[in-house]
Amino acid sequence: MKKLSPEQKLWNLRHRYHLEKRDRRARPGQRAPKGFTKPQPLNAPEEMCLTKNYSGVMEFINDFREVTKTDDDLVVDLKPIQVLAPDAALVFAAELDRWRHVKGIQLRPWKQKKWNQQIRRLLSEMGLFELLQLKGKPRVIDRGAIRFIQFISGNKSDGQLAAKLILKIKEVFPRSDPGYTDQLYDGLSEAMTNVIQHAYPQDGYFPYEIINNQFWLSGSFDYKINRATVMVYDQGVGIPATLPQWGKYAKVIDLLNLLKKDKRDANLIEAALEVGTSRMKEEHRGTGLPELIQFSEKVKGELRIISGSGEVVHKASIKKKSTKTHVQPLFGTFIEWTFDWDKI
Amino acid sequence: MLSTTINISKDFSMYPSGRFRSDGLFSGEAFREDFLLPALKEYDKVIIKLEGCFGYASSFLEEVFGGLIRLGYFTKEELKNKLDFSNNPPEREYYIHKLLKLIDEAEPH
Repeated sequence: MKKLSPEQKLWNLRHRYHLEKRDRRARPGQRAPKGFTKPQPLNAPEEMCLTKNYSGVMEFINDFREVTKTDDDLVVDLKPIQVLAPDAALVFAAELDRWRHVKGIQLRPWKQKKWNQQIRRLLSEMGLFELLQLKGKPRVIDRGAIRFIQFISGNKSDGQLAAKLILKIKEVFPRSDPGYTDQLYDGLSEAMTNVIQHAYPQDGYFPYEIINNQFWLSGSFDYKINRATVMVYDQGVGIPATLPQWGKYAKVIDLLNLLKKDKRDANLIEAALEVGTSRMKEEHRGTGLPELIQFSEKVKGELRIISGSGEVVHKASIKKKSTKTHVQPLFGTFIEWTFDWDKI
Repeated sequence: MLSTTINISKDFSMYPSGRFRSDGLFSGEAFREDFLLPALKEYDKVIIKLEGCFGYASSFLEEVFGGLIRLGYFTKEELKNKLDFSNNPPEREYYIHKLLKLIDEAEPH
């Protein structure tokens, strides 16, 4: 009897492995093989919006993060989403991007045709399919009043990324006054530099595996009310954690003591914004926070910062700051400028 | 008097960003050390043209101009005498004002 060659034996081994692997997957209408458990889908909330449903969104995102710590299979069901705000979309897309990098696997959309059609359009428009290199991108037929700008991600203070976002804004609103977009560029550039310099310290504590120095940029327009938003998100340690290394930290604490406020994250961020705007000769390196305010003040818009458990909203038109403390901290820092385009 | 012109957007980058070289390719440190400082050492007057770039974050400007003072290359008076920003469009006045303030605020180590 002819004996098999080593190559033939190897081929048989590989072929048997692939057959067994195929059999392990559950097929529709068939009983799953012994030992195989279908993963339970993780359901996204109906309202994906950090403003109106922060706790719901963060519960979903944190459940997602916990599963990605393990080697378990994960299926995320986006069918329940009926409202998708740009802020939650950016944070979620960043999480998916992180998972893809950390696990090194190709993501696939699950039951895409059952998603809400508007949500599907928004996700496609914002570039989720390109960002995550997903297949099956839907054709966009009906563009609603809200348009999303495609996500841009990076890990260097690269002015070209900021310029790319601004050029996309200018495409839609050619009336842009360069004087204002210059300062939007400055704010974005400063935000990126802050991420590189402060957000991912070598000795920082990260509860999840991170992509070092990574940040994500995006924006949106609401044509009905002529309102634009520009956002930056990173998954670093957060502003409150980096403040003690700042030369003006003592002044931040002094201010909190003067105002009889405790050191919760929201108060720390608010105080840092206040202290940072009053420049001192001996401190040439700041947190970059004042630059973030400058653009919103120029266009009489809003600056929102969520970092750690704290949220601060600075409304330039009425020169007022409001703060909020969340039970579930955000992993990283989220910065958003909102402004009315027809005021520019 | 020998003078030279540096057009930041054409000679360096349209997208300056970041303070140190480790921040990114077109940082303040890179511009200062590779372009501005050699020109300041060689010429009596350096004309700086700011148009063409998307913008200039404070950290970039501070590292370029404040850095020249902090690192002891020039005194404030010397530097202001050598720099010439007169050939810039009105919309760049904001940045000229900003960087002159940063020069004034910088202190040598």
